[in-house]
Amino acid sequence: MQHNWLRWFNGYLIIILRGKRIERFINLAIQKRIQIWNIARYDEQRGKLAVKLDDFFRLKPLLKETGCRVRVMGRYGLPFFYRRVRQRYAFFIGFIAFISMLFLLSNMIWSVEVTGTEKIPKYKVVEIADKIGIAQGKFSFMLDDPDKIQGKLMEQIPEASWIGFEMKGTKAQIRVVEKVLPDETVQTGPKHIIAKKSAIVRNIFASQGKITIKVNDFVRKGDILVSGLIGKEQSPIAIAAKGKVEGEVWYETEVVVPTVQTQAVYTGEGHENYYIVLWGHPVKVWGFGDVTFKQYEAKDESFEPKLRNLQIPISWKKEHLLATESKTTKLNSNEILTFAIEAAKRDILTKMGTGGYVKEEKVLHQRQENDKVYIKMHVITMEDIAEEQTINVEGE
Amino acid sequence: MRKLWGRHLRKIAAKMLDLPADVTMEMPRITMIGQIHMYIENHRGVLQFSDKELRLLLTKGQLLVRGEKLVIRAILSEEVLIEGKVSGVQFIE
Repeated sequence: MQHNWLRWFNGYLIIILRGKRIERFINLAIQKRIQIWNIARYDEQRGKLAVKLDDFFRLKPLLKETGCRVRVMGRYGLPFFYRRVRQRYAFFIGFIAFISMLFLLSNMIWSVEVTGTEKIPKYKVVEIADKIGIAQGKFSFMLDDPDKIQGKLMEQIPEASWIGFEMKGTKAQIRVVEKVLPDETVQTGPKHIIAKKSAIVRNIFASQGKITIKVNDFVRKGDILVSGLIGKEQSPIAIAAKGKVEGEVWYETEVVVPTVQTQAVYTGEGHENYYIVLWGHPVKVWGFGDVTFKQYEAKDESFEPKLRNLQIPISWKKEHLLATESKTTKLNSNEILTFAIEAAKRDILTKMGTGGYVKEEKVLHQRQENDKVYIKMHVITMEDIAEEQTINVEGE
Repeated sequence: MRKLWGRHLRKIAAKMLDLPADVTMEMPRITMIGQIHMYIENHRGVLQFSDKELRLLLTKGQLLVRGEKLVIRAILSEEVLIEGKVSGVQFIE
């Protein structure tokens, strides 16, 4: 038995036979290897059957022999389909045009997106991409391999350390990762390095200039640490001294710690209110029950639907009230001390700036007054005390 | 006499070689799926066909299939596939 699709491919007819000797007709057809199928008998006189298109023309002698008459009921298959296509060619041209248009338009680059640029201007990236062939209106299947494009882009934009190229639907995405170039050294005039704070010098790292101090020297604020004047004393050459000087700096701070501290603690109870917000006015829709607690913290959660970029004036807001309880805790002397040290460190770190650390801390004095402890502390830090100072060259 | 001999020989061969009877003795092999499908091999032609009755010629005798809305789905020189609602199969000597 042939498959249905093969029958369809060759084309077949459904015919009605009229005559008395239909059985004879069937037997003869089988003998002559004429393919017939789906044979049904209406009554004594009529039968319906399907026959292959090629075999239909071979039926004539059989019909003559059996005295049957034939009427074609239906034509199916590719040959007839093809004829129909020819009759309605305009429709099919339209259909094929539609499919191909859909294919072409969906494979077109509709936009080029450049992300990640900071210093490199975007238009420059777009321009270079245009040269390579990534531009609006180009077909994406005509493009090279993404890796190759990436390579080309990287070649042409040396300022970038990496460029990624990807087609996302009809959007060409170019991701740029810029090189972080070292800061260009600003040519400056002659400079000294002086002390920012009074300190004991511990480390000196000078790359340019003449060191005027020794390790373990005590320096006052404003003292010259690294001189920008080098060479003979009579005719010195002024240069920009460069370097880092680490010194021990002493601080004295006073910290006030309350002995009794109040904190808000969640009890676990909660209450929820729901609102519909219309043009900025919230309308309560749920949560009318009594709130059983007085102290609470409110958390809002809102859902604002958006139509593309349009804000819809209706939104949904959920308000969550979390019951709280104030809890007072009394600190013991140990806790007070650790608390004070932490606070002092924090205070000094803000004063110190970057790069330094606390070396040592010492409690000098401690006194209690009205639930508060006043702690005077001595803190030793290591930090960079170098500061630049321009030299006014005389005679210029 | 000769024909009888032949049949006898075939019977012996079938027994010895353990072949199915439909191959050696030209008997129909009928496969049915419930009432709806019926597949008959080794028939010798259609004698009578209507939507209630199909009479097939066999090597020896006839086969009568009764049913409703019978349709010959496919027919080849030795095989026939019937669809419909088969109510009875009868061998006529």
